[in-house]
Amino acid sequence: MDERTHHLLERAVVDVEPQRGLDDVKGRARQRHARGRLLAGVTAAIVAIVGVGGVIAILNDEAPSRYIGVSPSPPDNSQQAAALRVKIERIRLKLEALNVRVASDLHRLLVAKQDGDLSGAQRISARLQVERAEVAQLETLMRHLMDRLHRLLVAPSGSPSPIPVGAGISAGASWSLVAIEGSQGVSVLELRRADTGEVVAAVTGDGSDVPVVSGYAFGEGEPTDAVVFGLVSPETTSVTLDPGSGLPKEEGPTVAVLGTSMRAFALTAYVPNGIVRAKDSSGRAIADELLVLPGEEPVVQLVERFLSARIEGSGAEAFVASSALREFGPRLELQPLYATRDGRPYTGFTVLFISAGGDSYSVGVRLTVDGRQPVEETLGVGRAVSPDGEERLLVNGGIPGLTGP
Amino acid sequence: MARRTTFEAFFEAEHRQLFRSFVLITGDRQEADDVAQEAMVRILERWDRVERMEDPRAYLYRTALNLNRNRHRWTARRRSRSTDSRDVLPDAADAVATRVDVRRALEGLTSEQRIAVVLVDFLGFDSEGAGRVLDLNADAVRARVHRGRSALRERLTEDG
Repeated sequence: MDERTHHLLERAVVDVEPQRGLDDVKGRARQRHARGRLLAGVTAAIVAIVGVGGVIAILNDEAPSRYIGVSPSPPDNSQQAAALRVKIERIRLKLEALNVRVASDLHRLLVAKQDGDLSGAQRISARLQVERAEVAQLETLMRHLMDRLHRLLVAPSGSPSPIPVGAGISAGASWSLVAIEGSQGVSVLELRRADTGEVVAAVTGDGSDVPVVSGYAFGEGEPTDAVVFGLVSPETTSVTLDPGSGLPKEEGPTVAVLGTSMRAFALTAYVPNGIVRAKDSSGRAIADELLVLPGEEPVVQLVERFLSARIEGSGAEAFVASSALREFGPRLELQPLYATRDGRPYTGFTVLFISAGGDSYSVGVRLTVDGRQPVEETLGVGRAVSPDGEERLLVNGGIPGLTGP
Repeated sequence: MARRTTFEAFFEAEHRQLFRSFVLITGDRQEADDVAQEAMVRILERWDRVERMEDPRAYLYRTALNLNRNRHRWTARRRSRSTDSRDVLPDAADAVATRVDVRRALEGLTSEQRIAVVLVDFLGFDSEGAGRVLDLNADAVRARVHRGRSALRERLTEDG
């Protein structure tokens, strides 16, 4: 410290006092807390209006009491339970704060659509996708911690011991990946910091919804080191992470966990997002899952080689609705696409991805969708209320690895 | 091992100095009050984690600087269109000249230099500690502080 400079600076603020105190800080914290709870309800209403059901449904498809925290009873004095409660409360606060952001973005999306601001709507939609991923991750972690607390309180003895699956050092931090056998065929993978034992990320799977993936970026600022892990189907022998943007792919083998029908994997990578692809012993891709971790803003841009996607019905109408495409990391994204035919949803239709070819258009990829069942895992189809208030067919989602003709 | 304390004690020890630091960094008392409050709110929300940290004070300033940076992004355009909205600090008559001179001189530094000088010369962080706050190595901090001090003296000499 340079005494002369210190003296100058001290004199510049010698009698300057803050106007707010400890009570203001505590009041503000309570206000943030309450605002998050209030807007959770508002979000549900907005979702119903806008029809972006998939985006935020995960916040609303469970009883709200899941996020209210843990009641003080039954009595438990263990430090472990107390620590779990603190973690659950922290995640609940994060979810509520996220809910505020989602509510705000949904409103902006609605306004942008009403104003015909396509590029604005695309930016907001991209942000919503990131927020959805964040919600999903937090929700998984929340469910996992609630389960752990439940096991601790209800069945403190005989709880299964964690089994090490992998370990490593990323950005100077040691971590371990452990598997825990839950009830009813559910397996849990926990990524733990070795120094504190803190669970920083977790996935839960029962074999019916694999692959389930998650990850965590160690280190702050740049560069970070990411660990991507998850549960995959039993025929999966290797997993790749394709981060896109010219970054190298990461690949690793899978291991059996706990004698269940699932296998586990862990990869280290430069970035904690991209497409996780499960492969069988012949190297054939058998499943994809998009991973976007909180705070990772995707690079989104309109895709020039494709002009648009559009829905064509099987009837007389050749053109029903269209939407621009955008690139979301290594995957093409279809903006929510609404269509109706005489006020009834379509039951058979085709989604066309159309590329530019001089003065004429050529068909890039044709997907036939039957009813509400998606033919691609990432292509969602269903009924929804569109921004103009009518019930319409809704198609949204993306196609991993689609590179065009 | 980090020493455990209560949030209230931490607030009592740090809040005033945090506020005064951001008066020097932003030149705006209202903005400094806002940043100091928001930073303390974030610390309160994470207190169970912060209290176990080796250096909670460094985390506080890191949080506050991040908040200030985000606020600045939103307000930069508005501010550029307005006249100087920075309020005048309440002055005792004989201290006015020095105070205004120092504030004006600080405004002439780059943001990075100003923050580094405040961390080291006002708050007493050593170069390593300031580096942890700013995510820089100690040499980079020393370079910023050195250039900041030189610029500050140069401007005060010019004004004087």
